[in-house]
Amino acid sequence: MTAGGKNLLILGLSAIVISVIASSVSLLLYHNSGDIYLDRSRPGFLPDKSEIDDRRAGEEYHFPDSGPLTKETINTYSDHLTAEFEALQKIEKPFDESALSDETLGLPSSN
Amino acid sequence: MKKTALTFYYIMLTLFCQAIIFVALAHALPESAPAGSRSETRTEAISRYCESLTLSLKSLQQKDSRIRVYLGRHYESILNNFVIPLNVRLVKNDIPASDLAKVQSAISAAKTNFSLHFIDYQKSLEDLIAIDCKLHPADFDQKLRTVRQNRQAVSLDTKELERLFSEYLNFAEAIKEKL
Repeated sequence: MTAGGKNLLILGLSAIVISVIASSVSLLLYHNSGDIYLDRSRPGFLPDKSEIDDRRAGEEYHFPDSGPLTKETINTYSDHLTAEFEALQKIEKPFDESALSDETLGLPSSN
Repeated sequence: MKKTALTFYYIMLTLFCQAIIFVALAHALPESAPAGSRSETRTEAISRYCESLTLSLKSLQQKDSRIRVYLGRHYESILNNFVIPLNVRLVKNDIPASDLAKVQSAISAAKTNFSLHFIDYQKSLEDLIAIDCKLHPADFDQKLRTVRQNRQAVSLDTKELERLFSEYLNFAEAIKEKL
């Protein structure tokens, strides 16, 4: 084997080893950090079309962080903040225990 | 020509190795549990209805993911578009509001807890789904308890955030008296 061929071989093997190590580390970090559980680009977790449309349709209100404060300003602020609370309350009892109860899962009671 | 072929083989070998690593990391091994103390009827039921249980849990996993995104978006919006700007504006207008600042810190902390507890819950739920409940119903039952506890932690975080938001709104309303 020529010197050039040897060097190419070493270069190739080094590149493979480095890329395997780098890929393994990044996958491990992705898994262990928990980001995988927040990632909705995974198959089966992609957002519905309706979710995307809702996001685009809604105009996000942003309270300016400078300027004088008057009672009218606070009233407007309260109105918009209340609207946000109402949006939160559309989800009744989020992560309620009943979803995993024995009754819901059809299992005999553990007591 | 030889060099081109070598390069091609190196690339294929790299892709193959990466694929193996990815598949190995993507699979979680089911935990081996000590002998269960559950009644025969319960483990029998888990084993019998394993398929429908797994389907229910997968459906719940996806539903919870949607709910998390929905709630998270609103929590983020309330914190960044309402709480923080009002506190900054109060400081700029020399209006004392230490209560609001405290609530802002509490909201940030509660939001972080919500994310962390949700990750723990989803991790444990994924581990639960990965258990073969037909062959290991006792393991499944034990893991189910853990998942329930983790879900409860997330539920408590959402209630705490709701309480803090209400408290913040009350304080914000009270600011009107100082204007």
